[in-house]
Amino acid sequence: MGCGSSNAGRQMADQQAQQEALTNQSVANINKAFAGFTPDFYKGISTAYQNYQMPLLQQQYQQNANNLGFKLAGQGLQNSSQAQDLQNRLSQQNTQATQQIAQQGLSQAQQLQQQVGQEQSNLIGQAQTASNPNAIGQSAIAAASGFQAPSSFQPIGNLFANFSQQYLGNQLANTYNPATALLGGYGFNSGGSSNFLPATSY
Amino acid sequence: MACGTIAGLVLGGAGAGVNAYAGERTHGAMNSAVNQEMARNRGYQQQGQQVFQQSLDQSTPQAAKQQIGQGQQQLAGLIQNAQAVPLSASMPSNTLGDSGVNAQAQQAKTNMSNTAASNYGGYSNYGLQQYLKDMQAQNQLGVINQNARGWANVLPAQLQDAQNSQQGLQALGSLLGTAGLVTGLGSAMSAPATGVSASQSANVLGEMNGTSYLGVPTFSFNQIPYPYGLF
Repeated sequence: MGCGSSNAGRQMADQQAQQEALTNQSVANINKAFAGFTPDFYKGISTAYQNYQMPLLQQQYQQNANNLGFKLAGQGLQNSSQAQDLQNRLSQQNTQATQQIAQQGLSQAQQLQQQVGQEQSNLIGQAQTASNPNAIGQSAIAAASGFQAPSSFQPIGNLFANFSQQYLGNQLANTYNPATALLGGYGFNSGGSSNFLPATSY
Repeated sequence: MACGTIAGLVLGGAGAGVNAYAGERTHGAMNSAVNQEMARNRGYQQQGQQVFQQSLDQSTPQAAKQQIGQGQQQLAGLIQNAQAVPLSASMPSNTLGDSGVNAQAQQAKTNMSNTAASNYGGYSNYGLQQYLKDMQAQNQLGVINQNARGWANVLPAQLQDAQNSQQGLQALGSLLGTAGLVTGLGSAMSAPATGVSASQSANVLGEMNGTSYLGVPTFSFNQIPYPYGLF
């Protein structure tokens, strides 16, 4: 330092260089904390969602298949084209339900990916003015741990509601509807009202 | 010419030279600070351009196609996995419709439906990937911008440092100049004793300080030298 010369610029430059190093270190700590969020991790979320929902779907499918079989048997329609049609519709409904679950599984993973990205962005924003990279790193680890915790999925609703209400209910109701008693002419359910099964919505 | 006058001339000249040198060095130091900042700024600009270009490269139609395809593959895989799970309930037997044709038709419908669903669902991956890469680029640009702004804020202080960096030399120049002046003045004041007239002294001082006092001797006091033009 010369006689009377100031070194404020040097001090500010040192501070700036230090701040830049701290920011870089903080960003590195954040990236390290979030390194576990790989494509495989998100794939696991989708798989976990599927594994959770598929048994529920199968349960619903089984219930609807049983109901269909029971009602068809009760009306002597097991070997009818109507039975085939209803079975096909149930199968299609099941296909759509599996697609819906797969789509929701992917959506779950994508939502989490978006949240993780947003949180990472927030932390990097904080890192730009951070004076303590370790504190930022700890915050990042805490946030990342929160995201890595197992998610609680909401059980699926009734994915066969459309089938049970619209198709199964209406088809069987119409079967015994005097106004549309088309099948009566073919000798089905000629036992009179004792065989009547009221159309029920499921 | 008296030795004192010569010494005054030499000292004054040396002071002026030192001052000029100090000014040149100050100027150089300030230029250097500005050039360094500009070079640093160009570096940050290049970093920013690279980040932006990388982000832009992921927004092309080709990238979009790739990301949509990736999402479609993901969803198709998930659907396939879901449908691979065997159904626990068996359908009621149907001798009429349980033909191979019906099964094939059903399978074809399922395949078409799966393809349509995965094609449609794959678009969501494109939006997500664009969102994520935009946010990542924004983060990087934010850090670069913050660093560039920080260094830009340092520049005024660095310029002030540069401006003050040659204070020692400037003080020396001033000191030498003053010493020359005083020496010359002393010589002029002592001129009567040595036979040098006041007008001569004034002229010498005038030469030394780069100003002309040639008109001044008309006011010269014969035995009382007075550095008229100095004030």
